Amino acid sequence: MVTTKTVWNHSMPNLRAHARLIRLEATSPMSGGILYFLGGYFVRFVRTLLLLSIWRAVFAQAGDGTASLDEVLRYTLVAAILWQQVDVQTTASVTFWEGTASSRFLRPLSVFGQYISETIGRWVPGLIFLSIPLALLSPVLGVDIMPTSSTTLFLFMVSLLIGILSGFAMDFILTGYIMVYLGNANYIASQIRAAFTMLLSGALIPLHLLPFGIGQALQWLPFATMASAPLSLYVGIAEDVGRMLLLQVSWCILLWLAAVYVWKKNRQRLVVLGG
Amino acid sequence: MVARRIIGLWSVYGRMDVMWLLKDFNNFALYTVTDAAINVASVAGIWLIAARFNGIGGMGIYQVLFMLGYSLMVNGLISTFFSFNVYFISRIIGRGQMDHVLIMPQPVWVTLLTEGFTPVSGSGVLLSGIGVTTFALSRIDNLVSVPFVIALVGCIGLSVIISLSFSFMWGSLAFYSPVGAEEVCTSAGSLSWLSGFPLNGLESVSKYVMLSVLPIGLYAWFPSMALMGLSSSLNIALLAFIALAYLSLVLFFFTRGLKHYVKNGSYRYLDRGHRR
Repeated sequence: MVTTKTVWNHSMPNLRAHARLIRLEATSPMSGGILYFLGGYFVRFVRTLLLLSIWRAVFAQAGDGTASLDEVLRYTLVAAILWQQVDVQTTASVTFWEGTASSRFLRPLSVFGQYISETIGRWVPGLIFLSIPLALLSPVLGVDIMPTSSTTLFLFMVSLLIGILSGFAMDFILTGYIMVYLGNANYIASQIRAAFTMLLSGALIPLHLLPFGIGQALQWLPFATMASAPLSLYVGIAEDVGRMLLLQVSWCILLWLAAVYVWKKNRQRLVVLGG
Repeated sequence: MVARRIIGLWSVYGRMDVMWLLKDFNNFALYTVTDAAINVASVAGIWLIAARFNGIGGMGIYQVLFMLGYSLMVNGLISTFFSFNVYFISRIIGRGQMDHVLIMPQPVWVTLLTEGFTPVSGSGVLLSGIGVTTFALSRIDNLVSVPFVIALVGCIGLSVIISLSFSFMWGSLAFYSPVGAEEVCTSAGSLSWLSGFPLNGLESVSKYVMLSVLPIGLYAWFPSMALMGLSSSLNIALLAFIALAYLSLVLFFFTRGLKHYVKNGSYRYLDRGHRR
């Protein structure tokens, strides 16, 4: 007879294994030396300061009819605080480049699950060394990041969760193709992906502030569901919250179906290079 | 004599780069296009903001575009002349590969100036920069003249010197801490990704920091403003002075570090060849 206790006992080893993966990845970036480790966060911190200063400069010069300076500053700072969550990059492409991906296929755990756990683990240092300090510094930076209401906060959290799930699926789809068709060049290809995704998802610039109607078109694409949707909701500039959440859920389901299909199809064609 | 040697070595490395192109065109195209695409994407965000707001902090759209082109040219020159980790010198030092440089029958600086020369595979960013700058200049009235072009070339050279010096200064740490500082140049170098950000909106203290100890503004914004007449042309002389100061500092730190390396060597590799 299957009881709650049996189910719990069967799932516990997996949970423990995933917790170990998270812990391992949370501490491994620090093995590369403190200068390298903190350097990346420092560059991101400086970039955030520069972005905030640019918004202040352009709004002082011209202003904008569709958003206020406060909203844009809040959007930019929250995007910087949640940079890892609104632009999900799993460890998959790096492991294929290094040749360490093969071990993920040998463990008695889901391959997707392992990469998700590793990625969550990698978020921990970023959270401690950049996200939390940035949030604490927000009053000094002159930006109010407090949510406007508890409903907004709840909707934002739902939207962010869907965005993160879509981000994982998108990364798996791209890695799934890249690893088979580009061989050992997959790392460089993933770099291109990262550069363009940041631009197209609204993680860098709020989509409604893009010129030539680009933002209007991008809002319907899956990239926007990862960053633009949750951030717009948080700031309070989302036009139709219901439609936005529906679009996010639809893209999330489609992306995961595609991710599972791509990995199933390409798994047998995979050659792990690198080393 | 030394000049002939440098040109001869550039010619050898250039031929090797072309051979890579002929040997594996797909990979060559992929890496070159990727490099250009990543760099163009890194400046596209700023240009889109400028296009939306008709400029940034007193700079017009095409003035911002000129600055972005300038930034791409600086990064492009670095990737053309200082590839293969020469720009990221801490990797060469930290991995014990300075031994390879020291056993060459020529001065260290000649090796470092020539062995990263990749005129074909490294030129994607440079060509994008030249294209963007040319287009921007074609849209700005009454700017291009012979003195302007000479000043532009000079300023780009100075920005490259500052960027290299900054990377080499941090990289010198790897002489003393090969493991801990092996990747320090990756962080120092990644500041160049921010070179396309205009500093117009920054308050004074941050602006001075980014024009001195953290020289992001010197990579493109500061010289571009002077070249376009948006700030005093004396700032070009100031840029030259800062470049000279950086060069003096890096010579001091790097030569001291190199002396330490010559005496102590690197302990990164075990006898079996594995890296510690």
